[in-house]
Amino acid sequence: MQLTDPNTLNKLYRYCYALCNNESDAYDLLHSSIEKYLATERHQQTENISYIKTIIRNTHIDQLRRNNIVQFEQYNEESSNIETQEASLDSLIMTSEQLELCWQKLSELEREILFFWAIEGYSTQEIADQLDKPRGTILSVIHRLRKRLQNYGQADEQAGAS
Amino acid sequence: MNKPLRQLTKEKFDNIKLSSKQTQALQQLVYAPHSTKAPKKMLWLPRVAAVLICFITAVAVYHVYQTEQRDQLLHAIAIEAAVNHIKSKPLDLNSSSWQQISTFFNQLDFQAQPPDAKALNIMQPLLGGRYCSIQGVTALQLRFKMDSGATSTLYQGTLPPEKMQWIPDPGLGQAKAHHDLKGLSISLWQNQGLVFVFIEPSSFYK
Repeated sequence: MQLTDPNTLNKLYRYCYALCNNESDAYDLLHSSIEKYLATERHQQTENISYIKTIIRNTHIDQLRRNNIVQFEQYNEESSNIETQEASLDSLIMTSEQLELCWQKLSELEREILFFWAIEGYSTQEIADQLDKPRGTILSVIHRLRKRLQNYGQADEQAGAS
Repeated sequence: MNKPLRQLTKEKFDNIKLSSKQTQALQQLVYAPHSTKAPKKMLWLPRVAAVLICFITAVAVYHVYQTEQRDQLLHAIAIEAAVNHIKSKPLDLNSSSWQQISTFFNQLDFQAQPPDAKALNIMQPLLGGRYCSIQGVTALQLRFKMDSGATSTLYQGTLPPEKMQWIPDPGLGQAKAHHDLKGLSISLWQNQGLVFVFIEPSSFYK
């Protein structure tokens, strides 16, 4: 996979967008991450897209820290009884408008998980490995995410009916 | 229209695309990796240059400081010796015999050396000697009578090592230090661990 390939660049750009939720910030993040990647010795040996994604993530975290932006994650209260709900997002059905409205309220981790799940086709374990988080945490976030999307869809439908 | 979440998410991200201008800019960035690596490589250069400049400045300042210290010490000794010479205090022993003088001055903490008449160009007779001090350390002064009636004085003494290092040593190829003060020509040097100061009227008055 060539880093100069527009498809590869767009793939990385979409990941940046999942993190930033803003196209302009996503481009800046991609640009500085590629610069960092090119400055490493490793880029001369092989073009590892997964490694670039790690750089993107770390650069994004650095930028958040520099701007003193603290990401709060919800308390993992339901992680014990969600082990069986791995494929729960697959059954969700909604409209693009509902997703668009809901998207703005998703946390950075939720957007990232959605990206890896829908775009990259990663399994829960692969997402956990990529994000360097326990599988249980990812399942917990997916579980909450499903509930929120479901509730949002229902509330939207009720508002439409009334 | 209702669709599965995965499909909706895919469609949403399909709309997120780099513009052709952005793609080109990123491609150029990748095609010219040295342009991004070069500044990183060169980062050490200004740092090394800055360290070198600091080092050279420090050495230069230290050298100037040392030179000033040396000049101050030599000037202080010259002034002290010149003032002693001008006061021309009575000699402790009047004798032209070096044997008598070396026997008489036995309170010195060094062995007095006979004056080297040739080296000092002293053809006049020795008048005698007296105890004195250079920089607070006991020294010996020998006085000579010149044809013109004026006198010349040779001081011998020791100094602490930290001061001794600043006194030129002709034995090491260093030139004697010369000062012209108060109408006097003053020469300073060291030889075999002793400091010598020779004072005579400036050549204009000889």
